[in-house]
Amino acid sequence: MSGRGSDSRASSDGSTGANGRNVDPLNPIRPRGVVPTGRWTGMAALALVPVGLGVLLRHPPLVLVGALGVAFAAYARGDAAPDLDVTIERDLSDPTPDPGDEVTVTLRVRNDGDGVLPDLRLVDGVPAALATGAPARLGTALRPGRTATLTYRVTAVRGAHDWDPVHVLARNPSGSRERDARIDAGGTTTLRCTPELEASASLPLRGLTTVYSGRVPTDVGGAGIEFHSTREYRHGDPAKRVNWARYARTGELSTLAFREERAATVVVCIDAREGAYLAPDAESPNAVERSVEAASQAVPALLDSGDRVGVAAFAPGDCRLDPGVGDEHAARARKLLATHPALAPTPTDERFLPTTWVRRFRRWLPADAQVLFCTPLPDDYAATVARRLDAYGHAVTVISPDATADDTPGHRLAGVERANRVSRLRSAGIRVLDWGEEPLATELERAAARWSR
Amino acid sequence: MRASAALGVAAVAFGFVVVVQRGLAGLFDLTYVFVTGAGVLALVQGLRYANEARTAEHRATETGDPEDRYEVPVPGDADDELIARRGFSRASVKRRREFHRRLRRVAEETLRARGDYADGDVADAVDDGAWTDDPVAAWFLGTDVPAPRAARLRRLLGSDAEFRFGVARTVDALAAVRSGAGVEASGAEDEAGPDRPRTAAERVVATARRAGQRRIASARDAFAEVRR
Repeated sequence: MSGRGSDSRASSDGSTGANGRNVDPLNPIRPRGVVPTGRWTGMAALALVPVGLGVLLRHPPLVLVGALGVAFAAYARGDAAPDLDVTIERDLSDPTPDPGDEVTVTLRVRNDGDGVLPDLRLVDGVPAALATGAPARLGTALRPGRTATLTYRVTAVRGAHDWDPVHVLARNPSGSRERDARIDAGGTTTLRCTPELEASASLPLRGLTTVYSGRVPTDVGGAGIEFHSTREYRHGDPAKRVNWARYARTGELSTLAFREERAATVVVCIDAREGAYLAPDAESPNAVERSVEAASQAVPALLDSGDRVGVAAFAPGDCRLDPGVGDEHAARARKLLATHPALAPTPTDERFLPTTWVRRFRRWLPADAQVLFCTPLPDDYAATVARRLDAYGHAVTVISPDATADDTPGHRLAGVERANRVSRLRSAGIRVLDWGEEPLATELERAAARWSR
Repeated sequence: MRASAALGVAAVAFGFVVVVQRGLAGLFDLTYVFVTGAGVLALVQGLRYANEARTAEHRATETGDPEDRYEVPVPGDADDELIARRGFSRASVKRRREFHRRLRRVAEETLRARGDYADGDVADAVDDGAWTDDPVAAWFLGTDVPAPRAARLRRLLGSDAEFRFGVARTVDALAAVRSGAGVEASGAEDEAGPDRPRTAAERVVATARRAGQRRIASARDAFAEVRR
């Protein structure tokens, strides 16, 4: 498959006139997409000034020089914009790379028209989240039937990245007019980069659990490892749980109860509102990227320990994965975290109503679910959401990637405000992991030690 | 414009007719005045076109920079823009006033979060500038704190310069308080204990001491400004 652009479809947003050409509604004479460059404006002066001077000075050679100007003016005016009839095809060396892989993009453009394209410029529509190592643009002249090739490399990052149409500019030989068009390229137009889910250090969870056995210690006595209490022996209690020491001392049978360890239902919620796309500098990954990274480590860690895990995005679009267990569920979670548009590396401009989202999220959230809220705490509302969910009985743990900088007063103030939000959440009894520059696993271990005290 | 265009079309048409019917050229007397007039007209028109070319806009389609990765903002970029903005328009003054109120809210919240003051004392601490060692920050957020000399000097340069100076110093002071350093109150409160009630005499002495410290810091600050 290949993408073609010609006069009739050169402009992606053109309205088609009666003759099949795209016509600018504001200027019905000029076909849409044709831009006069204004380079030859004033050529008439080159004709008229020598003529005028020649007449006034009675100097015939000057009048003849004026004829030269007339020739130039006629050339500029008579030179029409070239017809753009090209085929563009894009090819990726690996359409499904791993994060950090270099992918070579090859763009081939063929002139399918009958005329020469003396000045053809192409700028590829590189996805906003991808950075290129070399210019993704080509300037060339193209004879009919010939093909020119543009090659550049991009570094893959998480997500499904769609290329925008290629921006094509074709000028006539004099450069007096140019044709401007956006042409969809054929071939591969999407790069899918799906990172593997890598389990981090085990994630310390809060006490809210399901009835299934797992690894979260509860206040319920039963089978387990950590001593909880003793109670009267009941018929049928296993012999290994009988308190034989007490029996030897007093002759009374009693049963040891251990802290039951149960599984939890955890919903990993990622703050991916437009306001959460923040980074301390241009080189660092943005906070949503880091939140998704945290989720990508938390989900397998929780699944490995037998907990039921769901995923949701506090963002426009319906990005939710019901809590579940198993390999298939892990694969679904991996795909959602990697490629769901709501978690894209760049924000969407879709409208978002946070209060409506919270209401719907609460309805969807299982009653016994804990919430692991990944948010950079960019505003007070994120802290309010965490507190509200916690108040409704869903034990909330906040993982907050720090996206603040301290090089200017405004940046420092944002850092102070964020630190205040963290303090406010902690004083409300919500666990907050303030994730700085250290790897998440290190921060989790440190936090686990602090929370177990 | 239409009249001149019609005249031009008529003149060109007449010229073509003259090529065929040479006799029509005799309608005009090619005197010196006529030829000179035609020359002047051509020159004036030529100069007019030349002038148009000089001022004409040369257009070219912008292609953008798709090679650059999408850049997200740094938290606080909008505040930096507001702080750096110059001008005395009503909108600017209103925005600065709102920002000032926000700074004060953040200061109170920071002191509350730090637990340096009881909830009821936070507003008083900000009012009398006791929350910080920095006289500029104390004056900027306080209600009855005299402006230090450095701030008065900035005021001479304009209210926007004064605002920028005050904001920068206040934010620095807030960051210091947030990180637990430079809290004037921490020393004073440690002696008395944050919740221990003080006598009126102790309060007066503490206030006088703080005022003295602020004056010294202000003098030091002004001296540093002069040296700079």
